[in-house]
Amino acid sequence: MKNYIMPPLVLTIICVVVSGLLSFAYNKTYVDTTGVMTDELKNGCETIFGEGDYSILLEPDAEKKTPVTFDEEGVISIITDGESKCLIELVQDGYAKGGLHLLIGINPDGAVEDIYFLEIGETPGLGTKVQDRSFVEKFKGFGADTDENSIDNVTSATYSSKGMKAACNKAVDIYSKHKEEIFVG
Amino acid sequence: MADNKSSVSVWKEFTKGLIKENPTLVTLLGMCPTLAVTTMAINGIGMGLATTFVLVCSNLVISLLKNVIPKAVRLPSFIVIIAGFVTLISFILQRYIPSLYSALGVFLTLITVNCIILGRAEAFASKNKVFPSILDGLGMGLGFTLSLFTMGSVREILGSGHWLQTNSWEGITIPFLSTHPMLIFIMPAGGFFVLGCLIAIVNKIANRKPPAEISCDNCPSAAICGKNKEQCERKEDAA
Amino acid sequence: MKELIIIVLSAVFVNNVVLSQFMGICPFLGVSKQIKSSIGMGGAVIFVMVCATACTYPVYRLLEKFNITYLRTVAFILVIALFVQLVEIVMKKIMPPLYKALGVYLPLITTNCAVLGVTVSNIDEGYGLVQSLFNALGTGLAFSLALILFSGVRGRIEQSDIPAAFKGVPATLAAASIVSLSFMGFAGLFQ
Repeated sequence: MKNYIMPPLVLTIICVVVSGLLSFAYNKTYVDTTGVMTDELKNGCETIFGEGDYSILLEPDAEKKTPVTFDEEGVISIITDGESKCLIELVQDGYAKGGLHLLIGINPDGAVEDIYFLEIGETPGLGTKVQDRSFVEKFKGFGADTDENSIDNVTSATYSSKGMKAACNKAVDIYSKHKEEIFVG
Repeated sequence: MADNKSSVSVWKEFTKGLIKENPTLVTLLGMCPTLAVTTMAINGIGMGLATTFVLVCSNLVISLLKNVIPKAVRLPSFIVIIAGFVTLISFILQRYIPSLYSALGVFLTLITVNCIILGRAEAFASKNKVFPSILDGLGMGLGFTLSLFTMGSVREILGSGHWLQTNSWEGITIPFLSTHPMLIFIMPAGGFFVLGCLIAIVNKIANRKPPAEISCDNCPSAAICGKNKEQCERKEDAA
Repeated sequence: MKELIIIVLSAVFVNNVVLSQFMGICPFLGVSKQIKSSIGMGGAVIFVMVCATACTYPVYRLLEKFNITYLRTVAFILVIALFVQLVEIVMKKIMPPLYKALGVYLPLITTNCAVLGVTVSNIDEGYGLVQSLFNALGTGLAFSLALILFSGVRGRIEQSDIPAAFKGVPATLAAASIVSLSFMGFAGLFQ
């Protein structure tokens, strides 16, 4: 009889103990950063537009902090200084799924001011080349005096380059569509 | 291994993993992460240290529990304990080093099924006392880190022309290679090639007969697939 | 339907699980000595991957319901390990011929990272049940294809004259590098 009870019992105890300890550890280490202005985001905003009082647009009625995304795919949050500057935080597929996590600054003309890389999951040495300053510079004014056809993809980083363009298109698009809503709050 | 042995043997437990029984280059375990995350030296170190952490902790717990766990559920129990520590290290990395967390990606989860860890649990920790088990885990883990770092350095220098680059630091730029990097080395094909060459170099230096094949001698799964070598070999013959 | 075909084909050729994602390298190098054992191992892996996906998908939904998705690694590996052992026992009793063909490879699969890898990546990619099953099928096929192709290459290496230090595993890895290079030709086929 003991042979039938002991093994499953021990295994169950181990599983329960492991799960219990893990949920303890999870609660200790997990920090909910949804809708919170982290240092990284703040740093990104200041790199693009300089000093300012930036904050994330939040849904007014929600109980928990829920950033406004206008139901656009990949958009994580929309940041503004409440006057004229708008930054859009989004995740875009490059070569890797969700490989580009960007902060795109849009100036009052509705064109790209600059791009800040929050996280890049592309192939090191290939896709990560889109971070090169010389490439990012080309995106300045994207949506006004340049568009995706006038920027050449980086050699050996074609998909990442396409991802960058798609992300900028999306950001410019959101700005032109929702301009009023963004600056109302 | 009795605890009345001299400190020499304790030292031996520790150093054997570094060189003599180096998990990747000599006993050929844990090849998947070795190939996958070593496009940059820093990722190699990160992966190696994460694995070391899991290895030391799981060796410690398993050698403590070795008499409590019934034979019938030995493997599932080991795997659950290992998976627990893997989840723990992924929490820690996600919280404190998010860039490394995203660079290692799915391979962080896959530490769970890294043959080195289950192999050491099965071959060493489940038969030995706590202290030697910890040293064994530490030695094996650091040996693994060392070979990952070597792989990563070779691939990063040849493939992208810099060394030890991180998110916040440009790294050491290698003249000429940084303007004409050999991209093939950071692609999958280059990974296989560099690992093959490293093993060959180790063979040459050690002047040792190359490990003929990945065989049941070192295979941790051998213990799972019938607890004896004959059955495992019969499988090869039957094929 | 088109989407499912693309999932399978891109798993087999573009993102080949062994040659470009480096999962399941140990069995890839260990079992690919002969074509016959490669086919056996490949069959067992396809079977286990599809079934493991079918098992882990509801488990994940359950975890999601209780908001404890962070336990997925523990839950998945336990489910896979138990499932493999169960299949082995059942197959031995009920289908001896099938057990004779595939059974010996089954236990090796618990520690095959490709199986855990495919279940985790199904979740990460946000696939539904049907898509996950097809992705698992594609990944299994990819593994088998790599194994079978490579066992052909390996037959030739055994007979060639190579420097002593390169004999065995190093030469095998160098050959794997060339096979992997040829798969790079498929990159960008879909997207």
